[in-house]
Amino acid sequence: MKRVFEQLDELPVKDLWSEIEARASVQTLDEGGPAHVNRRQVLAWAAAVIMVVGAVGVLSQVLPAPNAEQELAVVAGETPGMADRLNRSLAGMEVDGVAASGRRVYVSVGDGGAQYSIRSADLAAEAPQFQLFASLQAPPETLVANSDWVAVLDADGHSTWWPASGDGDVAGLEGLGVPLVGLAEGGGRFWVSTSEAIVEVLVGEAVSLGESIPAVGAQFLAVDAAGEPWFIDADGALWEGPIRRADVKASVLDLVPASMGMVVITTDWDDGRIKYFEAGGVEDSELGYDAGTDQPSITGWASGPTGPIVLFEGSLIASIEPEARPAGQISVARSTIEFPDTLRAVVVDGGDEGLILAGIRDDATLFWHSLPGLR
Amino acid sequence: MRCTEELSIEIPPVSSSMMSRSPIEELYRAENVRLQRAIAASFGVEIASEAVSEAFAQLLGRGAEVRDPARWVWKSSFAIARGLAVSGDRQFEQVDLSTLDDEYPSDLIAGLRQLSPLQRQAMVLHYYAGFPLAEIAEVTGSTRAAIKVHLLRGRRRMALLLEET
Repeated sequence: MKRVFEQLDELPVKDLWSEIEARASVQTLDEGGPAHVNRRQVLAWAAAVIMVVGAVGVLSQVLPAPNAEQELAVVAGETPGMADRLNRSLAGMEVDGVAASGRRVYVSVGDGGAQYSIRSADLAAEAPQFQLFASLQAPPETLVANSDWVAVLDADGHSTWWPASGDGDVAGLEGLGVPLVGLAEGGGRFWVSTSEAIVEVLVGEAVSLGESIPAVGAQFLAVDAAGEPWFIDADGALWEGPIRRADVKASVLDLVPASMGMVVITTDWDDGRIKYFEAGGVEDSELGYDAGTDQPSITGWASGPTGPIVLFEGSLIASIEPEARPAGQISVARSTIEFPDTLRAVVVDGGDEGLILAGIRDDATLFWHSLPGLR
Repeated sequence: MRCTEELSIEIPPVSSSMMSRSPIEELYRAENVRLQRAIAASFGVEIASEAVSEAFAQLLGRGAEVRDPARWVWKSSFAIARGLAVSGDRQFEQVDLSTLDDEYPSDLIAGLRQLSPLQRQAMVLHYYAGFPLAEIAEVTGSTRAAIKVHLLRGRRRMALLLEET
């Protein structure tokens, strides 16, 4: 291969030195103002940093003067004050799950022994901290929440629902007769999976079973914004409700809902690391991504209001813009912040602060990160 | 020693700013050919001239502020090239190598055009410029692991393309 590239030695090269000196002298003349900025280069750097294919306006605020000894851009700032306060209110607890609805964050925690509970914090409060929301009888497996309900699937395969208001009785799901494997929420609808089926759970004054979709060995259950369940069956096929969408024999890490469909996060797609399937599409019409996302190490992911946010090794944040179709658009930004080795995260609406990532580190502590450029 | 005695060249006085530029010009002379070709193969001839000119001009402006000028200029040139490539429509995929193709039609260029932008940059920096993974990652703003994958896929794809032609 090296020999092939030796052909490049025949490429014509210009002597640019006069041009360089001329440019440098112009820049020198321009200097003197405190905010001297070369507009052309700022644009160039901004574009290089963003690497956008259909953007959501990431990095609109932070376009640094070019200095390769700095990071390319700082798009995210930590939120140490808030994070410290929130984490202090969970001191001594091991965080197992995290969920968010609007600015309210829920965590399922254990005390290191046999005591488990759900704690919640309202980030819109002046001094947010976690407070007891509900006690659990068994170790939590999955925690989900929307504006009305908070639900937990525990290690014994039992599920439990609580009104998000914190009032009212605990509602449990009875009647399936088999342990539950998965629990997911989207578009206000809850779905659970068993070893044989995907079943909608109707939550109201009582909890009852709704529509059922046969599914053997379903895994990675997720629900899109329209409330439709997606899952991968035992043969490695991706299903959108009762419709088989694609063969995804790749090593799937998770399914992450987008507002108009589902993103499959894998470790070994041939043409990229994540793949977006539009809801309602027919088989083989899925949209693939490469566009700068061809990174090897996805370290975390979350579902945000505008679609999934994927964290890559090296602090690369990718945000999918589901409205910007059909080319399969994605925004990519870099951060100077190093994310934990692995991070299961949710996105919290941070109001004027943009989005806030709440995630769990390997050591069962919470990780907070604000994304002011993302909404 | 011999030269100065025999030729007795009169050296004109230079300003302090000119003195600080001399090593940069030397750096330019040492790196320009390889740098320009690497960027041309990755982004096209026009972008290469623009990016290299702009990076060196910025380097002249910064002078001693930059600790490692060679690394800086490679990293900056590629960053500027990426910016220029996407500034029109902000799409890497539409980087036009046709100018390069016209000037220098070859199987290699045709093959490079088939690669993704990051694969192309990684392949050129590794196989032409001789950069190790870590430095390619730095120049392209990526990670070592990512570059490894880009090289793997780029190599595989290039081999197929070259075989076809």
